[in-house]
Amino acid sequence: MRFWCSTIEVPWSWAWRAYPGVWLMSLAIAVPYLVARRRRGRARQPHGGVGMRSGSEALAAQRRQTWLFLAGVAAFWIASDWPLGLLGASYLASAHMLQFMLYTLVAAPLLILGTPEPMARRILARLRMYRIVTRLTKPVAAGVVFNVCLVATHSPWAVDNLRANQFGSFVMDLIWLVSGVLVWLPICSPLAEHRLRSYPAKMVYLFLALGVVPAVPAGFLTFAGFPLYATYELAPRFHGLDAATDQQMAGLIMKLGGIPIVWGTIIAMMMRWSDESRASDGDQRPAPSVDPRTGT
Amino acid sequence: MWRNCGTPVKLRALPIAVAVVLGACSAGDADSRYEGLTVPEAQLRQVPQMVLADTEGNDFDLAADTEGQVRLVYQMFTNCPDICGVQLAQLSSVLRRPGAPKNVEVLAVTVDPDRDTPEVLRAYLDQFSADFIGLIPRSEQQLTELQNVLGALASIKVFETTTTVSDMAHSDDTMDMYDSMDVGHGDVDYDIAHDARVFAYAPNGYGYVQYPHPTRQSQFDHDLPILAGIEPDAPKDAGL
Repeated sequence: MRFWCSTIEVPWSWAWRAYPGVWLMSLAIAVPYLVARRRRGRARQPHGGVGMRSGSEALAAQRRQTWLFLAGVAAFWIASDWPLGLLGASYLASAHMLQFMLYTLVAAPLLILGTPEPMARRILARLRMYRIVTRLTKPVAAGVVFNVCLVATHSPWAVDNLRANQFGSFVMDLIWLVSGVLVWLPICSPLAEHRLRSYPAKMVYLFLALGVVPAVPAGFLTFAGFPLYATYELAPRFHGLDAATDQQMAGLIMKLGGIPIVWGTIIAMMMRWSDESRASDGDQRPAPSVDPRTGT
Repeated sequence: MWRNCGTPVKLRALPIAVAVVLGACSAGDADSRYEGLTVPEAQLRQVPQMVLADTEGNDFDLAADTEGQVRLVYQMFTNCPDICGVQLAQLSSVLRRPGAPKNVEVLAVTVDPDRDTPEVLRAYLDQFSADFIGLIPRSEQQLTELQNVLGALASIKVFETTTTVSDMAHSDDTMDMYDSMDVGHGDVDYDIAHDARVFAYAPNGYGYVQYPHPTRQSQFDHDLPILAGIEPDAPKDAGL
């Protein structure tokens, strides 16, 4: 039994394999969150609603956040555990890429969206990381760190060496998750001061950070003359899929896989921006004059 | 007695033997033209002049029927759990590439003639390429002779048994136990440890280079045009 998915040299089999490290890590993310939410929920009960919202609205928002967080944990677990985790660590470059997309484009934003502001502040204070996170969430820093991690962790050296052992494989997955969280913070951080203020800035940032640079390694993977990664080239074949086709699929996943999420988010932001602009226009319009004769 | 040892012992011994054999070859030499393991001039061998059966049941002369071609001789078996499929997939990918030399024949010789019938072998090779030539030794003796001529390690049957070396030491009649396994009739599950090198022979018949597992596609792709460019009537030193 292994702690974390890493390269193995036996032919692929659909026989289930246990990776307790993945379960422990998933639990280590989910359990403290749920405990903290429960405690906070109890502490708030005697005081009724929070802020401007009514009690039921606040409860619904809290539930929604909890579900988003748990969906993020589920995405993390699916990307790390058998079968996708093992396929990505040992057999298929395309599975490796799918893992990367799940960590950075699904798990990371869901975990952020599921984290309430007070909890985020408490975590950063306890870890004494508020200042460093504040610096790293500047758009240029976040975009650069994410893309450096992306390019570095997709280099043949990194893949072939890190995937070869459990610790290296774990480190690679952790880098993906942390850099994924970092790159999304300027968009949807629970802390207002870490978020970009204007919608246009958010949209440009998202396009540049998640839409442009990934196309470069994706191009290398799609158009390379030979398989770049020894790990996947020399692995026992998965259902006859040859290494070159698998690598091209990996390149396409990297290039096209993010489009629905990145562009979906940009479109959602445009719509919200438009709604908010319309609402503020409505607020600024002069109130209809009152007819002194009718009083209406 | 060693043939009856438990699986782990045999599989541990094989890589050591392979390392010893490969020590005779040189890889990555600054002088070498090849990216595979270059065979020193003193140890150069010619393509075996032996007649095996192909997957149609016809005689196939390894030397005469492939004259003027690059021959890539690879020992394999269809129940091979790992390396055989990887090496054949590598060769298939390299030879499918645009610009790959045309005068290259892959000669896949089974080391498991008991289970690899012509139909089974053909179906297996077709997963990689219909152009790969499947060859079946006529007898165990011919297989051993071929391995000697190639300079390959002898293949070893590895039985799925819980017998250990200490068990064997206490066995009074180990050979009887081996014989009772009904070898070769498909009743006993076994694996085969075999030499996983691809032996490459230039069109002039000399085996200048070998490719152990793992060999990258880029290495094959670098070397095959060099081998294919050697004329069939070129002297021995033409490929050095």
